[in-house]
Amino acid sequence: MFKKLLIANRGEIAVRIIRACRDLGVSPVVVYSEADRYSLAVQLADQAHPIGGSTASESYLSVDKIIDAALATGCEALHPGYGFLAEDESLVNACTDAGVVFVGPSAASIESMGDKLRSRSLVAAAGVPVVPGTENPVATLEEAAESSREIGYPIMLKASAGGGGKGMRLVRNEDQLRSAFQMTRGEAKAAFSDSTVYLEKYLERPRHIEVQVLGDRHGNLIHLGERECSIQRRHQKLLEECPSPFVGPEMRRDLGEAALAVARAVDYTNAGTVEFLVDAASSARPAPFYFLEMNTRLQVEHPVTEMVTGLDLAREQIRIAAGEKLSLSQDDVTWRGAAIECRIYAEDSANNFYPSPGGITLLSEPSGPGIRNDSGVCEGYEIPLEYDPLISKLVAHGRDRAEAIQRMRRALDEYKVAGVRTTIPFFHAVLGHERFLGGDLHTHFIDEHGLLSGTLQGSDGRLPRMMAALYHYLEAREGSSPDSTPGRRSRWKDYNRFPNLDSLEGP
Amino acid sequence: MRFSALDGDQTVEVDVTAEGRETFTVTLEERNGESSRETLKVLRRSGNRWTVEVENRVEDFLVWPEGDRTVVQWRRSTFEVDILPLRERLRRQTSSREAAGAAVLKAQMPGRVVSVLKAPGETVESGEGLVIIESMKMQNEVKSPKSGTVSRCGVAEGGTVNAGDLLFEIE
Repeated sequence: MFKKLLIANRGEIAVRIIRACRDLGVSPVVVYSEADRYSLAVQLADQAHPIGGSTASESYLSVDKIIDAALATGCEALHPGYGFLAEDESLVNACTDAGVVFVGPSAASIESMGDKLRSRSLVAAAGVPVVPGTENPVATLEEAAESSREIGYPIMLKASAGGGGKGMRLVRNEDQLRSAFQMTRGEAKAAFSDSTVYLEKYLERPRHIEVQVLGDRHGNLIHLGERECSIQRRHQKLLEECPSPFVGPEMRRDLGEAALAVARAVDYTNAGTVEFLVDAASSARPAPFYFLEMNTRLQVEHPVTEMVTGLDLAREQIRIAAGEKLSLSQDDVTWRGAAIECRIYAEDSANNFYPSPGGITLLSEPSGPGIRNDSGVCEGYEIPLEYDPLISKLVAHGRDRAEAIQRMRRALDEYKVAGVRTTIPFFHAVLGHERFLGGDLHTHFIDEHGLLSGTLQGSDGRLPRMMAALYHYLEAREGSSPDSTPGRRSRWKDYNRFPNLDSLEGP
Repeated sequence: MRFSALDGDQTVEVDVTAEGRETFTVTLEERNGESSRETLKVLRRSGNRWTVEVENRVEDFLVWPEGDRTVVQWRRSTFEVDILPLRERLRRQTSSREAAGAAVLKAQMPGRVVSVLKAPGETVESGEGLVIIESMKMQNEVKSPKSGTVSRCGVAEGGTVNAGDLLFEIE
């Protein structure tokens, strides 16, 4: 096993990987940007290495700085987390050149799955259904119109280099296609420096269901069942669960075999996720499912799978990278109960999820049976403007879905955050919704049920108004600043506790 | 001490009187002209978290200031209370009458100006977009609160803004 591992990420996932390192007896080292000097990950790691300015391009997206940090700190391995450089094959190649083990799949696997058109043809050749569409790029409007007529409207215009909800456009008829075609190509060119686009059939109310896979370097490859992530906003997942309320044992087996076929097609090792769209609106049973994309990294929502399978995926990743064999076979995988994850963001869910940056002046985290909170923040922490404003991932596990939901509602009630707005009220609304309780999910659930804004504000403002008055009265009487909370205090005491914090100038 | 709170489009008065070290009587004027009174006993105050006894119940509140507003979280709801000392409210009303008709839009938070959609002298409709600002990787369109003419524009494409910076003035 490695002695030291560099974590090339920030926030809750850096904390998550630190914990996996501790459990394996590996010494965790984190990199940090200027904005993250006071982060929880920096506090918890054995060593913290500065990599520069606050913007991602000056720090977490710089392959050179990350590699330099690994070499300067003497790390033998590097875990990329998710986002940033996690799916960038140039980091994998740079690791190889520097003699640092990359905790993840091979550069070739990442590259094959990074290009949407190429992955579609690879997957189709492996006998796994893909969403009906064009096999090749469409270069002209005439070509696009002809293919669209063949596939049948509505269709989705997609950038081949896109992903994660970016670079795609819904087209309902030929008129719309005329204006959308050049626009999507232009956007793709601007965002990904590649104007290649293709067409896919648009599914009206699909469910997003994905399968976790795990492979070692000895040819062992298993799947750990599915997660449902249909609760999304602008193609960003907000709530995930394991198992899916839609998937029975038969469909789980089919999805699992399809995911393994996809993984095998690219000689996949380490942890990965194969995403499918399930056409639940179709009358066919079992419902048809189609390959969407493969994420060649650990997913944000991996904890729900961990809760139900009892595995530690981050730990497995590091073990696999160290050349060890999988700790279990497919037959050993068991699924116990159900788990749900809510992504708690510093966003105002009552105001169209407007980001709410600022200092966390009070933080009281939930606990009790079946509750896990993967947090990346602490009291007194300023949520930086530069990155995704995720506060924590709250996970509830129960004997069944109903118990997991009940526990999640209890935990949301206990979770207190002051200083910034959060998405906690939004999750109360979702978890109390009849259709959610019935498991009737699809990717437009939030929009269709009007859960986005306005309705979440409290109506009886009598006591809150009185409290606001009392607050100002006491502030005026005490004549002090309204903030008598932690976070404004001097940091000198903290620093003294971290003798391993590298100097800001670097070595 | 008297305060003025906004209730919808009306202002209502709130009065706070100390009855002891931890006990306060708060009188709230309602929209219908009647008033309600509660005795609030502060059992514990730890930073932004207040534990208060009211009508023989114990209630938990989170209270913190956010710009001109006061955020109160109670049970599962979040309230944004627009409350000021009565004297301050009167002063502001006078000054806002002087600038009657002009709407001044300020940045809510720091960000980068992605695109400027209107220039001084152009007419705008209520709800029409003025500028797109990116904060925390999210693009947000700032819309005009009224129909009128752009009298001032404080942003440039590619530039940055800080919270409180003037974005647009519409007359």
